[in-house]
Amino acid sequence: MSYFEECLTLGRFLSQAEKEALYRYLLERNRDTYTSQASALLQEGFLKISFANGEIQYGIQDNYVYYMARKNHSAEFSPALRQMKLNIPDFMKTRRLQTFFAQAEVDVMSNYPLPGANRQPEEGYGINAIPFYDLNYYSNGNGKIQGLVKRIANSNSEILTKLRTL
Amino acid sequence: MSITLPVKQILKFKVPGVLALAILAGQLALTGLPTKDQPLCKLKVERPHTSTFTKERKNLDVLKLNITSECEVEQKYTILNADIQAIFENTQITAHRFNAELRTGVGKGRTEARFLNLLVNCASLESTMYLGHASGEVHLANGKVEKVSGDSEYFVSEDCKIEAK
Repeated sequence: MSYFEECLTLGRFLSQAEKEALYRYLLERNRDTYTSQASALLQEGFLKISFANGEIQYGIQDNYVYYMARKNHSAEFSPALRQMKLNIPDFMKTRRLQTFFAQAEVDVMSNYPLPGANRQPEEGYGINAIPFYDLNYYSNGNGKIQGLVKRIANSNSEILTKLRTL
Repeated sequence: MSITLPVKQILKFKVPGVLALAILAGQLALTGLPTKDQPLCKLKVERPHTSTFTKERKNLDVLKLNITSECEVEQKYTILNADIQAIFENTQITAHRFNAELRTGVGKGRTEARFLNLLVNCASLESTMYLGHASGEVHLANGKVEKVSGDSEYFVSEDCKIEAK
C-alpha cells in the first residue's frame, strides 16, 4: 500500500499538514485530469465524479463554482459549503478550477475515507474554513502577503516528499 | 362668559372590546412577542488531553481538543477558531492556534456541530498545563448567525509539550 493509499483511509485522522501536502500532491499529479474536468464543467455547467468513498457533484451558477458531496450509497448530499468566483477571463478559469478540484478531493477524502482500520468519529461534514488555494489559509486569516511568505517557506514538506516517493 | 365643556364625552372615550382586541393583536403581529435576549447556542470546550487512539494507530503523541457547539434550534454549521493556551515559565501563552474549521450540524434535530479531532503534535513528553479555548459563529437554519465563545474553564496538566507557534 502506498502512502497516498494509506491517506485515503485515514479520514478525520489526517493532520492539517497531511491535508495541505495532499492538496499540493493532487494538484501536481492530476493536472491533466483536472484540465479535462474543467473543460467538461465549463461546457456542461455540471460534473459528477467519484473520489475516495464519496461522490462529488460540481456545478456552476451565477459565475460561481460550487460542490456538494455525499458518501457512496448515501442519499443525502452535504450542503454546498465551498464556492469560488469564476468572473475571470476564460484562459484563467481552468487553472482556478484545478485548485478547486484538488481542494474538494481533500475535503472528501477527510470526510468519506475508504474503509480502513481507523474508527471515524461521528461528526458532520467538516472542512477548513479557509481553503488551501486562498493565501489567507497560510497566514490563518492574517493577509495574503504573510500567507505567500509562509507558503513559500513550507513549499517542500517532508509529507509531500513522502507522497511523491512512497 | 364661561364655556362648559362636555366632560362626560371627553372622559368617556369608548372603544368596543372587539376593536381593542384587534388593535392588540395587530400590534403583536407587527412587533412580535417580547423575547428574552438569551443565547440559543453555547460552546462546550473539553480539556485538552493526549490522544491514546492516535498513539495506538499512528504511533504519534498528540494533544487533542474536542469542542461541541450546542444549540436549542437547528443549525446549518459552525465555524470555529480554536486555540490551546499553556503555562510556560509561569506565563500564560497561546501554545497553538488551529486553522479555522467548519462543521455541519448533526444529531437529533441537527442542533450540534462536533469538532472531535483538533490535534497538535507533542514535541516532547514534558508535563505542561493546558486550557482549551474557542470562539466563532453558528449559522442557524433560520438564517440567523450567533456568536459563540468558551473555554475548558481551568488548566490541567498533560504529559505533552507542544511547540509554541
